[in-house]
Amino acid sequence: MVPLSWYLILSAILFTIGAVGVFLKRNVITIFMCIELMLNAVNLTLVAFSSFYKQVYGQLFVFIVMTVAAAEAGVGLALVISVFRNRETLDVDKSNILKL
Amino acid sequence: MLKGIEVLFFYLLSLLCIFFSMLTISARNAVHSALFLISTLISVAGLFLLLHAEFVAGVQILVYVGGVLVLFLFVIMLVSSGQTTRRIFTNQFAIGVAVATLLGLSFFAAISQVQATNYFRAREAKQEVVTKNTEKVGLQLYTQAVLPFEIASLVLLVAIVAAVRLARDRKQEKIFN
Repeated sequence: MVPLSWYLILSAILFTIGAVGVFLKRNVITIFMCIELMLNAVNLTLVAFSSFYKQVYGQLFVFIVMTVAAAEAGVGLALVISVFRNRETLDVDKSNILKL
Repeated sequence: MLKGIEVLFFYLLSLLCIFFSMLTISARNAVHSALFLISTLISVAGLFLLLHAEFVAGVQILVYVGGVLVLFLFVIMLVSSGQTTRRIFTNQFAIGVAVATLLGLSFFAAISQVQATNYFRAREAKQEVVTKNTEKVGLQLYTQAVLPFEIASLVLLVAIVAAVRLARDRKQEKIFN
């Protein structure tokens, strides 16, 4: 059995890579993808704990996280379409004012 | 024998995960980024299989790869403006790298701290080879966790309504208002 800490370290690496993407990318769709990557790293942690403690509650949490991720992707991409219709850009540095 | 193969698969899948996730954030084209993210998510699904969580692995493939990432690809193709940007990173490069490095170091510190106290290893039990993962998950999901399950479906309903409302264009708003 692979030790639990290996999974934790892998998921920390994945979460940090996702955080780097959120901090640094210009394209708003890519930022959404990096958020999905971070949520997936958290899912990996939850499944690893659930598997090592022989409880399925962690996997139930994973389903809730997946539901929230799907809802977030749907609403977020609708917002992206709505912003793109008004601004004609996906650059987060260029859409920094609220008014049209 | 089984342990060696498991360690081998863990190394393989985790290297694939890290490789593809770094390609995800460094790809210039958003479509390439989405395809690399699909590869990352499939590798994570393999890790779920390695952890004997077969149902979660299947849901990961079906929901993320089959649903969310296809939605991403559709939106990328809807809003693609044609021009390729030369610079893919924001102007806050140095502070972003600094904050991310601090985040990663704090994770490693937390993990090594917990590892030093030997808290996990004492409670690791022997893994049975054949698990009834799907049966256990379904049983818990419909008995103990039935309220979060219903709340999750409510969240999805609200998200559907919000997405439909937000993504309408002007012409459709005139029709429906």
